[in-house]
Amino acid sequence: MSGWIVSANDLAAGTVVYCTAGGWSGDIGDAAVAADRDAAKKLLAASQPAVRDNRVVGPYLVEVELCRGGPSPLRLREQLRHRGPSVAQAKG
Amino acid sequence: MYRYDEFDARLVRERVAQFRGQVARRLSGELSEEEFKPLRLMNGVYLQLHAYMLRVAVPYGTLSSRQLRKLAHIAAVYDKNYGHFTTRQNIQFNWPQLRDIPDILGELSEVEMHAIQTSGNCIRNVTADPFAGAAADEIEDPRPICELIRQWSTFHPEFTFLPRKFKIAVTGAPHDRAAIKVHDIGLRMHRNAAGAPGFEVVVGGGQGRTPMIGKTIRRWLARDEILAYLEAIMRVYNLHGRRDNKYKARVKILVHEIGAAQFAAQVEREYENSAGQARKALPDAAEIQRIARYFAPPIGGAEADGEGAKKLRAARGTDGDFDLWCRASLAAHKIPGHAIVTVSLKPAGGIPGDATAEQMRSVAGLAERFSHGEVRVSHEQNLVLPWVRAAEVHELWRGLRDSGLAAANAGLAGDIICCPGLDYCTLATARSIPVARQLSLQLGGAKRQRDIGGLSINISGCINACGHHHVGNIGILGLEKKGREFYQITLGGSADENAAIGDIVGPGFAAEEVGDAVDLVVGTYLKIRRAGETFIDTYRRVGTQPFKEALYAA
Amino acid sequence: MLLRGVSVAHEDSWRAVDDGEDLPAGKVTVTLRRFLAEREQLAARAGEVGVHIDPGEDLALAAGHAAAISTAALVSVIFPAFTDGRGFSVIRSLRRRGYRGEIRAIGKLLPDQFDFLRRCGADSVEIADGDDVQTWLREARALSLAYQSGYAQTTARNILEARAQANRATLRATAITTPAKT
Ligand code: SF4
Repeated sequence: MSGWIVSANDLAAGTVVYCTAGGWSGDIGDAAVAADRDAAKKLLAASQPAVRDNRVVGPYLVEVELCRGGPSPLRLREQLRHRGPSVAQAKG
Repeated sequence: MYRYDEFDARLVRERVAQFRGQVARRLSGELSEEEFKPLRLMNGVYLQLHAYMLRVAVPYGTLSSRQLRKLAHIAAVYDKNYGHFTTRQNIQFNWPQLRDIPDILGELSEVEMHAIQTSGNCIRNVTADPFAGAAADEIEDPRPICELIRQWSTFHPEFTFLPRKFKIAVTGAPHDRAAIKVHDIGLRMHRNAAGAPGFEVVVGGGQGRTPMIGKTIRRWLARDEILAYLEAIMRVYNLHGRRDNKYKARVKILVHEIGAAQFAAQVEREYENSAGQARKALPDAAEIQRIARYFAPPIGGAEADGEGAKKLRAARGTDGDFDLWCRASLAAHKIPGHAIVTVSLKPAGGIPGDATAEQMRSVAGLAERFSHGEVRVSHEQNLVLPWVRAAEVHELWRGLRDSGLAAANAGLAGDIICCPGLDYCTLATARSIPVARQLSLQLGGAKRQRDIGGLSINISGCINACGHHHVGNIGILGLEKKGREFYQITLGGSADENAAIGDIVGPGFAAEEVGDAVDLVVGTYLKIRRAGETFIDTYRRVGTQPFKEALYAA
Repeated sequence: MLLRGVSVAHEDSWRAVDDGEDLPAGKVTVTLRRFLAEREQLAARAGEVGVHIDPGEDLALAAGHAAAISTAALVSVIFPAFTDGRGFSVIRSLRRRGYRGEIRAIGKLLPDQFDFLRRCGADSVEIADGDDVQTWLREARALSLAYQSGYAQTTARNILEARAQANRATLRATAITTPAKT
């Protein structure tokens, strides 16, 4: 099953955040999931006040697949945003 | 190296204060993201895939140990303990928080560094030969001119809102280590018939979606005319460069569309019209001398007895690993008894151009001990120690080895140039670092790479070409097709005085096929090369055909 | 609102008149095309005449008629977007060709561009109605120094001159404090 979630970056910290039922979280497992396009549009609209309140930057819809562990992005770009660079800094 | 005087320092401090105010206005909501974005971009702050990214200028690639230690400190305190040296001789931090960036800039200003004009449609950080001032083949150190250009282009009232970004590269040597022919303006020093040093002016080179080799618009230009002449070029570009299409806005398109001769004529007319006024506007000789004095070599005379060279030869004779490293890493020095040492940031399986805070500190320490506290950043994303006594090279190598910085691959196949790609960059279409990592592992050790010989492999994660794939002997461009990464291979590119744009060899390859494809290319070259040929020599002799056959035979 | 120098200008009697529109009495600005086409009528009027230059349309025309433009009492240079920096070079070129009248920057501009405009040679800037004047006035002084020579002097001091002056001062000081060696 697939759906949509809303992602953005935290304004002050820059970190990747996901829109939840009551706010924002760095954990994709907390993300509110919209099952269809209409719900997705509503979810995106509901995230706008956080932009006006200078909490997040640039919210947008991310298509996900729903697995047991929670939503998992379909596109590689979003998978990388979620998991971090695929090339961990080995030397550090 | 150049040192700020009270005025340089005050200007940078004021800029930090100004940016601090802008960040505060953004965080409080006084500025919207739309309003803030151009302001943060003017100061090197991007919002990337995971976080903000801060690009710090390393003017013409010259750093002091003190500055490198500060970069290490910033990596450790404000970031995830590493930084990334770029193909533009700058350093990028991948994880700073916006709220911290004013403090980071404040710390940088303490060591005479900043992020001014590291992005935006302005004149960017000027780049130069990383061996400047030390190279045996050099006519003159180009860095006094670079510093002059740096100052002149900083907050330029007329040229800060150009059609597109603008990059200037300078070399003082006939062998081009600064890739001047693929810059918006390239300046190459040479002597005229009377023996006076001046610059050939090359305009309209560039990479990205429409790669082009620059065209010469002036064979020779006296050094003290540089700023006035640059002003004429910039004015023609600012007025006539295209603004209707961002992909056609670079000066290379203007030069291409109206022709190099017409462009040159417009520049000369602008220059002639204004020559009297503009020349008066140049810094006077005293100021030029003031700047030049900072770049005097920090080492005294040559070692007359050749003892150091003897010692180095002896160490190479007894230590095979050291000898292999020397062959890749040492370059001929202007002053006998000395060597220019390249410190490869390309360990097999590593991330090209990345350095941890510890590694930065190690290099800073080694530079203090062995290179008069001076370090360079090369466009190949390596570090360079320019002032090393031959007698001390062996000891330096031991220190580098202890820090995991003794990869013996500078200039060889493992010295892969690579942009951050989709692992970090929001514009990317595919990842580039995993490809570099895999290739560096499969290309083999120092001996095999020595056998393959000089070979540049360049990887970009999108058509913007930050990894300079167009001018790699083997270029790899990451693209996306139906949601999957695939890679286009070009052959025959070159970034030196014989600059060339690589030819696309055929259809692209899936991520898992790239390794084999590069193996086939290298294998084909090894089979057909003639004695003494490097990869690019062979390619120029035979063209794409044999490589095509090998790659697409099945 | 109009800023002249780094302060608010309280009077501005210039009126922009469209092509084809009748010319009212008093100070008017017209498009470059009209300015060139109706030179005699315009010269015969009592009021002063200014001209608009739109870098998007007028560059070639302006280059060919520098002498005519130099007779205008005001040149308004249009900035269609703050990212479109052609106007800076237009202003600078006018000054370098010896234009002495008032140059005004109009259109979409940012406070951060205020000092740059002035250094290129603008006397006045028309800012958008919603803009915060205080931000404009503050940003004009954000940087107290400038490297470029040959541009107009504003509140930003020229670094090369400052340096030369500092050097002379040091020389004098050393001349006084260093005992003469024989
Ligand atoms: S080439 Fe593309 S992917 Fe690589 S750093 Fe540049 S913009 Fe990003």
